[in-house]
Amino acid sequence: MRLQDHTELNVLTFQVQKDGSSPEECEDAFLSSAELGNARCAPGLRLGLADGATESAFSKQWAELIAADLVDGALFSALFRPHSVWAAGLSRIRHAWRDQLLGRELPWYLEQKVEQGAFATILGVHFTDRLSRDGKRRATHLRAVAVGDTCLFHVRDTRLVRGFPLESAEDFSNRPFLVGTQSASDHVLGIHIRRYSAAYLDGDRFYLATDAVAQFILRELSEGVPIWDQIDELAEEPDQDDFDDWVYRARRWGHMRNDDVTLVRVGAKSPALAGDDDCTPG
Amino acid sequence: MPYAAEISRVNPTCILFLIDQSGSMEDPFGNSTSPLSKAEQVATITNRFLQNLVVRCAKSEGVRDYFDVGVIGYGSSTGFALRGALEGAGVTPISRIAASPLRVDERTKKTDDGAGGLVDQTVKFPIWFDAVANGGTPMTQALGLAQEAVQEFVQKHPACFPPMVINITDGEATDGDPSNAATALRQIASSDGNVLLFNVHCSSTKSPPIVFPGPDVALPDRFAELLFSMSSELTENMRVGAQAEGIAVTDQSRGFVFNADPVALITLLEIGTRAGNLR
Repeated sequence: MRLQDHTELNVLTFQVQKDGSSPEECEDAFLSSAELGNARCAPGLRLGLADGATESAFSKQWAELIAADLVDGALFSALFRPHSVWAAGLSRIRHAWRDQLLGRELPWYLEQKVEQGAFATILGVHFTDRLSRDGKRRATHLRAVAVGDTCLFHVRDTRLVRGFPLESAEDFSNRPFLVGTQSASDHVLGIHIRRYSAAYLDGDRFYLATDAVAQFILRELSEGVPIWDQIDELAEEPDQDDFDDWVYRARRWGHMRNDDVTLVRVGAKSPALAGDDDCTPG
Repeated sequence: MPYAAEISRVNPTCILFLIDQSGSMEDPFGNSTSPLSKAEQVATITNRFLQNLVVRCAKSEGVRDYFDVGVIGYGSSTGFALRGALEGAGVTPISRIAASPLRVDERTKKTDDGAGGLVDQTVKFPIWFDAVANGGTPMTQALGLAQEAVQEFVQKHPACFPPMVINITDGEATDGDPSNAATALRQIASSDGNVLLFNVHCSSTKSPPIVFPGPDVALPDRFAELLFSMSSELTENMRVGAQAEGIAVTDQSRGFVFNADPVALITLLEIGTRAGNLR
């Protein structure tokens, strides 16, 4: 018997802006190498999530550029390499951000705001899936890199295998380290880059979350709330209104900070039998 | 927990400056080597604060109204002191402040050219408020006007982060004891806490600076003691911010600054209302 070529990774994305803002003002940016929504993904699924800072201008554009590069560009790999490599990667994206603003007539306050730069927290996750030469063993693996408090939760059954980069609701602060459009803090950025690498199994789930919902998840978890079941239920028949209600309820009770929310669920389903005629028992 | 309300466009807060424009503000600061008068330095600080606040609220689509701002001057007369398009506007949304400086000066500063050298860069410096020094010190009247403005704001925004009032003065009130007016102002409250009143005492004496003292700190004169007694205690966020700036504070520290650079207070105000709750 031969295994199928690759694991199914189903990606489902929910997003809702902070209360009082319009959807266009949401400064979270998410990109997947697969189609958004339920999709059977090729090996090498790549995800990028960035949370643009409210207090900077053009941070949505910055978050979008970062998320895109974590998926399609060289930034993800560069963040696993020495300072000079990731600094060069960021420099390229910083130029792209500045290029977007070229030729725009800005009022005095935006000129000064642009000088201060834009900022975002970032999370990149790459899944790989390789078969052994005989096609009988599968090696499924993920690597993740993060700066700041945008989180990845790796869940097996109902157990949190790893909260990355933060593991407790108390770890969140109002001042996470941010990746900016200026290189001024690059000398300390290196110590804030977090990396995670693990094998994953059939049935594992992954949740990518920007800070407000990530902190909410960890707090609920610490209080014994079956939070993964709640999210999985929302994912079963995805409906934006149901998700909005879930977030608004948490906000109204004061359990979730009023912030832009992006929550991405990735489910790993590895088909054991496959479609290889040669190997079908007969 | 008080002083935790989010500051947003649907739930803005209010910052109100009370600026002493009496004749004695023409003198230099006691501890300063600057040739500028107290009035000129206070005007620069006020303009810088307004500029920083506008930039802080600026987003790609424009300036978001997280704050309503007012400047009350008291000297030969008492009233809202911004001029030009803002004349008579009272407490005003920050987007309108952004759109209506009296003028925009240009100043040159040296900046890194990215290749190891320096280049001249033109920086725009908007001016809303010019120095005035004339007449007495009708502080009680100014606190009364502040009370009316803040009361009106809180009625419109009952769940707001409590309004902050910053009184910058160099001398004794000439229209009676301002204590009762200050108490009445501090008693106004939103559901998130009482109005915060801070006092900056710019003395002409060379006494050493005192920043955010508690009740155990000896103050140099009767008037400093009066202003201290009129000042609100720092909020927890502000105490944390002050400590991060290397300023020693206690649970009983108050928003009172004597003979010190008022920039310290301005920095603290910014920290106290910073990103954690700006939405």
